[in-house]
Parts: sequence; structure tokens; C-alpha cells
Amino acid sequence: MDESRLISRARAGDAAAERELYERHVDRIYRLAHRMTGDETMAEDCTQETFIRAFDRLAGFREQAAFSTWLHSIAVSVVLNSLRKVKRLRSRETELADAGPAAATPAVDGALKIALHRAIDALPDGLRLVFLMHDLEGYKHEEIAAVLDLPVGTSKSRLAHARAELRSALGAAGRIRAGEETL
Amino acid sequence: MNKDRLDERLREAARDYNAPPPTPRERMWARIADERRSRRPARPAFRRTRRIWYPVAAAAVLLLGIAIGRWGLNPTQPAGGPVAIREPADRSPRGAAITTTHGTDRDEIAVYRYAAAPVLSKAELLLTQFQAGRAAAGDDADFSSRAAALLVETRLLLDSPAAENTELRMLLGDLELILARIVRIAAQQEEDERVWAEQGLEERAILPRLRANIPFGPLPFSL
Repeated sequence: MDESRLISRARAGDAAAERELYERHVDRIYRLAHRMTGDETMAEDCTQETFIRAFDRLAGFREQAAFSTWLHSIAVSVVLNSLRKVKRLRSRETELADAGPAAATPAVDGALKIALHRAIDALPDGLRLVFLMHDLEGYKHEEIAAVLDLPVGTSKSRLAHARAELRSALGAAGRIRAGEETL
Repeated sequence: MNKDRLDERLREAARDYNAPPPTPRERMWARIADERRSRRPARPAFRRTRRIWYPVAAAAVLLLGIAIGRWGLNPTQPAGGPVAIREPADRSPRGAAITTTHGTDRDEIAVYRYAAAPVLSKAELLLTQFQAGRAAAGDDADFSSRAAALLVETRLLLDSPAAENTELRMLLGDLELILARIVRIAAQQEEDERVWAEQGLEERAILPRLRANIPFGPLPFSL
């Protein structure tokens, strides 16, 4: 069924239409939430909250934007707020530091991956989000710009900036671990 | 290593960063549905109550007023009871009042049908305007109150002996439904409701049926 018809039905309180909208979009929302939070429970909570808010506010949705874009902008807001509240990044860094010696031994590229993941964690949210959406989840710059309400050029420059930060972090780690070619 | 190749390797190495497991669709939907269910009953009821309060209140006051007028002034007569009519002096052999009694009386039903004519004419005019989109354009300030008043008159006709005629009763029933929707549209500007009302008008052929039930000749009221 056409999505705008589904939206009209969901607005009128049709639970089956809400379920259909959920089925169509839940995967991408959940994947993005998980990429950002790195925690299953938190990703589930964010996904649920995103859909609950979306259905509650459906009456205010203007169809000039795609439903998917509107839904993603809610998801990004929910995820960033959750991350700010929980300060999960800090605890994750602690976990990784605790696991440090064991992780470094098996292989050099494993150690570099850990360094890379730490470097991604350390990116500012605005850069990390663009990097994860574009490089890991395959969103186009136009989609990212619409979701984050940015010009397309800003999305591209944020991605370039994020990659540069990661290259630099890996360069430092690589020199310590005996060369970037082993990545 | 050039920059593009390094970026490609960067993406590969980052691929398992916070790699998502399969989406737990059912578990999440169960929680969403629970949450939605717990919120649903209170909200629409509150909104609807507030939004239709004024037209409903106006209709209730009108009905009450008409009921008091009908039964309060002549408490001995039962509902739908006798109606006194005076025929024109030149048509009555003695120029006297003729009174018919009983709701099943043929003459009385004819009188009620005659009384229904102005209501049907006003409804025809209002529905024609509605189809032409005047109400939606908001250029008829009293559209809503006219629809509400017609709704009350239609209800009263449905309760009168005029409705003993099957064809007229069905027409009045359909008319009542459409008018109720139009009152809602005028009060709330709901586009869905407008579409349903327009579909109802078409599917039930209300305008042609109204026109078929309106007698020819000058209208016994001013529009």
C-alpha cells in the first residue's frame, strides 16, 4: 500500500497501519541506534521511543518531507539525548581499557581495530553520526543532510573531517604497532 | 598508501564497529503497542469532546427549545398527535377550520410531507453549496449553524408521521448522516470527513432524491 495512505490510516488510529509503517522502517532505525549506542538494550529503547513519538506526533507530520526522513530525525534526536544522559561512551572506554592487554596480543590488526573503534568513539557526535550513516550504513549525503537538517556540503565536509580524524588516530596507533600497512 | 585506499581500509576495519544484531522486531513492537494502548483511550476522547462541544451543545439547546415549544404549550396532546390546520376560506365549503386527528391519517401525513418540503429545499441548497466547495473556502460564515439547524429539523421530521413514508424516511436518514458530517467538518476542518461526506452524497444519490421530493412551485419560506 502507498505510504501516504498508510500514514492517513495511522493518523486515524488504525493499529494495523501503524504496524505496517513500523515494519517498513524499523530495521534502519534499529541499526542506526545500535551503531550509535553500541548497546542492545539502549538501541531497543531508542527505537521504541522513536516509534512511540512518531505515532504520537503523526498528526503534525507534513508530507513535504519523506516519512523516513522525518522518522530518522526523531531517531537521531532520541539517540543523542540518550547518549548524553547515560554517558555510555565513558563506560565503554573503561571496559576497553580493562580489556587492553588481552586484546593486544592476538594480532596487530585486532589491536588497530580496537584503536579505530576508540577513535570512532572519541569523534564528536556530529562527525560520528555522519561517518556511521554514510560509511557503515550506506546513507547518501542527501538523506543525511535532510535528517540532520544540514546543507549537503556540510554533510560531505563532516565526513571528510571524520575520516581525517580517524586516519590520524590510526596513523599514531600504526606507528606504535609497527606500520599502517597491517591494518 | 593513497587516501582513497586508506579510506576504503578504514571502512572495512570499522564495519564491525557496534555491529547491530538482527532486529528484535516482535519484542520491540510488543512494547510499542503496549505503550500506545495505554495512552490511546484518554487522548482522542479529550480532543473530540472539546472540538465538537459547541455544535453539540447548540444542537441540544435547539432540540430542547423545540421540544418545550411543542409539548410544553399543549401538554394534553401526545407526541405526533393531532394537528389543526385551516384550509383557505375559498377552498373550504363553509370557510371553517378542519381538524384531522391521528398520526396514521392520510391527510395528516400529507400535511407533514408538505411541512417537510421547506426542510428538503433548504437541505438541497446547502448540499449544493457544500458540493461546490463554498464551506471549505470558508466564505459562508453561518454554514455550520445552518447545517446544525437543518440537522435538528431533519431529526424532528424523522420522529414525525412524515417518516411513515418509507422513501422519505430513508431519505431523511441519509440526510441526517450527511448533515452530521458537515457539522463536524465545519467545526473541525477535517479533510477526511469532507471526503466521506462527498462520497456519501454521491453514493446515496441524496441530491437527486431530495429534488424528487421537493414539490414544484414557489418555496414556502425565504432562504
